[in-house]
Amino acid sequence: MEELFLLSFSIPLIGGLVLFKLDGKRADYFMLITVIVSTLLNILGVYEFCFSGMKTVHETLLTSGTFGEVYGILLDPMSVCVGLVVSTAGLLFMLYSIDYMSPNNREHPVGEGKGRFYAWMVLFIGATLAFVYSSSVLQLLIFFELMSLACWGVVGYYGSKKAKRSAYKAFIVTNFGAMVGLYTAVGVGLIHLHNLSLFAYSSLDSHLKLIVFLAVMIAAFTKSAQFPFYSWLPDAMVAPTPASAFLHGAAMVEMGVFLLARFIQFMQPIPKEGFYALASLIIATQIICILMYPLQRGAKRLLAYSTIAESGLMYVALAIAVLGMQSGLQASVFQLFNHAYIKGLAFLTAGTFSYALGTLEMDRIRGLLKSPVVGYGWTFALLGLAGVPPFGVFFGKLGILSNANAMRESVLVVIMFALLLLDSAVFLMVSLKRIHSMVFSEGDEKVEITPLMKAVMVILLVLAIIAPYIAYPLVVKVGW
Amino acid sequence: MFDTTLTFSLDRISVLFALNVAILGIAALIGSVRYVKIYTFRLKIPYYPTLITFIVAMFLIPAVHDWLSFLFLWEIMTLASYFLIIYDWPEENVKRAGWKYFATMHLFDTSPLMLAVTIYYASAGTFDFGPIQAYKTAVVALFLLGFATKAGLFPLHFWLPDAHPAAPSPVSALMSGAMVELGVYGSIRVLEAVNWSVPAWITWLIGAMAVLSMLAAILSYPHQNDVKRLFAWSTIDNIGWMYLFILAGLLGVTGVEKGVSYYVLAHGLAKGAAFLTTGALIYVFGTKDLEKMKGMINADQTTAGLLIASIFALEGVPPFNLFLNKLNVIKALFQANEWLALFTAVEWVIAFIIFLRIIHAYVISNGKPEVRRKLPVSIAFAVVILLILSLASQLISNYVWARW
Repeated sequence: MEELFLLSFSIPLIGGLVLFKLDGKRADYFMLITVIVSTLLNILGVYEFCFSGMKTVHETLLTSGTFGEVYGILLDPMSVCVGLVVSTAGLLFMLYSIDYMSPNNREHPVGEGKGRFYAWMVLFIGATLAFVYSSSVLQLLIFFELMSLACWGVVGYYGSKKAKRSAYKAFIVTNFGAMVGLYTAVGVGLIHLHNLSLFAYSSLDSHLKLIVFLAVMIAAFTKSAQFPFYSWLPDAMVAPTPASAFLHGAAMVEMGVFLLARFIQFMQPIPKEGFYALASLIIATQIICILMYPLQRGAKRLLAYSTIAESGLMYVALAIAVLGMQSGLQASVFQLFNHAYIKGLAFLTAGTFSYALGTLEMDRIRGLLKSPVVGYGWTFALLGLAGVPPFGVFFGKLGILSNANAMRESVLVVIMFALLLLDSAVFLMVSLKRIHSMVFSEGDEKVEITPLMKAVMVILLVLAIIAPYIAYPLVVKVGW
Repeated sequence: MFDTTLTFSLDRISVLFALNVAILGIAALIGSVRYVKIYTFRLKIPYYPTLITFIVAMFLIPAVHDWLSFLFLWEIMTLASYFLIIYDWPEENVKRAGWKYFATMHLFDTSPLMLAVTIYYASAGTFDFGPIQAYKTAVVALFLLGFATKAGLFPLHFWLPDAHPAAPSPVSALMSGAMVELGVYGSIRVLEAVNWSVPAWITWLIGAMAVLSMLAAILSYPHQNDVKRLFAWSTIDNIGWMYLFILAGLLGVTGVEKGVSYYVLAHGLAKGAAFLTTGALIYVFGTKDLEKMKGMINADQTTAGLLIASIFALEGVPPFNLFLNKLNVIKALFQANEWLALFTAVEWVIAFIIFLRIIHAYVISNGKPEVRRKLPVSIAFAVVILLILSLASQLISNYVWARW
């Protein structure tokens, strides 16, 4: 079973490098084979994992005298669950990008150089999966940086001045996070533990735990674009849309959450100061998002703020986990899983605007109902993100709120919960206005997209509805 | 994380609510067949799938016994009703009403309910219905806030007179006759979970909101030109009556659940008939504006007759059974507080006089509005069935209650 997971990230890591040399149809086929094989292996692995009783599997692949465990693979319900969403969402976004990255795209026609985009994306998928199954802190650091690199590659892909600047911004901010956070964690591991295995970190004393926790929190916040490191994410919107979908839905942003969740899982109990730091920054993030929604004109920028808020909710759940409640950790992973597909759908729908209409300005888009898949895709994606059932985010939010006992621990939890509800209400109000003007209105232009793009969007919509039922059996096993 | 058992069963209270949904649902489906033909624009929201989702969600709500499924179905109901309200989307004000409805629901209905349900879950350890013990006041207050918003109790009624006229008439019939009543159903379930004992401020707040709903309705009736707005205000009025009935229960009167369930069925049938009749008016005269329908009896006697009959049914004129139920509310209130009983009785009379004047002013007056289309048999049939049933609702309720 371990080999399946090992292959599922090695294949894209190697395939990605080859793709730099390919272009055109050959790149399409090579990319497809790489991603499909990787996803199938992953799903097979998940299947085996579930039927072997979901026991944690930890295999050390490389150890050294001074560093302890350097390289290993760690399969537990959390990593398997997150890996599944990365793998499946990645495949769907790549399928969509075959047609999206074409000369027919009105905003960004792409003739040559598709291979380079595929290469960065496939590397991105590989690095993310490798990150998820890491068992040592050094591994986390390496793949964290590799993800930042791949992110730089896709954000700067179109090569305009703005794209390059945004790419460097994304790279520098997350790299700063890695320097502060993961280097500290590795340093502490080296000096105090002589072991880099995640398992070793539970034996730190509480003072060092707090330092590691706060450092990793900063690293996680840079990745997840939480206050005060959030501004790179709306700028990174210059990336090709399938890449944005991956960045927001399943990879980059969520990996920040996963990183912190891993450290909470292995270092608990964490001193309460950690909770206060985490909670107050998340409250600031939530307030910023609530204020920013109504101001957004661009479809992708609106979604960017929604991502910041939704991942903020995953941190709300993590803050509860820091207080010592295992169900907080579960709620965080649950929200991550439920959010991925619907956010992917939202981005891919926004992608159809630039593909067929050549604009992302929401004020200029009208009459989407003429193309029902796009019109209803956009409607349901926005409503689903606001937490309206039958879409998964509803259950994700309910899962976070079901830790209501934490409200007794600190008033900050009460504030976070209240902001959670206010956030979804404000997002719904803004979204409804947009739905009414963009979807249910008269317009002359029809959004023409290819059958493959339509199919991917429909699959994402279905997954967004059934996500909670897939994730639930795995999520309830998450814990320390 | 979500410990719950999904069971479907109906007890004596929920069976009457479910029956109400079922009857109105069938009537609305029959009434829709010809009615939707008036919408001539292209690109419609799929009407029947949304309507059936709406009906099924409402039918299942009284049947479940855990808050998780309850909330899920509740939200499906809200979502479906939103899409039905904006069905006529080329009209700008329809979209505005839809926005107001959904935004209000999310803020004042969904949010408090989610919080209440999760606080209950955190202490009870399960979503299944059961006594509310921890944080009783907070949980009950949040639940009642959510349900009062759905029910359209003053001052949370503001979405209602906009949403009902916006929706297609068969949908208005369902929303007014069945959906808002589920707010009452939820309130009863929550109050049962605390054995009808709540802090005094909640009791009197409910009383004040109910009385103000009725007063607001009385004051608004004379200013309505839109026949659907008129009936929407009548819903706010009747919700006030139902909550006063609940208030009587909180003040110690027993058997309130039974009385309210009976009231809901009687009112639902009459209100369904009334809104389907407005559908007939729109179909026949092509307008909702009462001014333009002056003297309708000279133009189409059947439609005018149905309108008069529906108004009588709605205002509790015997032999329509809402009469018995209104009487029952007053009787229950007499046991609790005479002044409230007196107020209700006076309100009843005033409302009746206002509606009588409306009949005189618009139905049997001079003038002859132009008949655009002939009244379809399907709409007339649906209205007549509901009117006949509202002559026998007490009988039906008694039959079900005694044998369930």
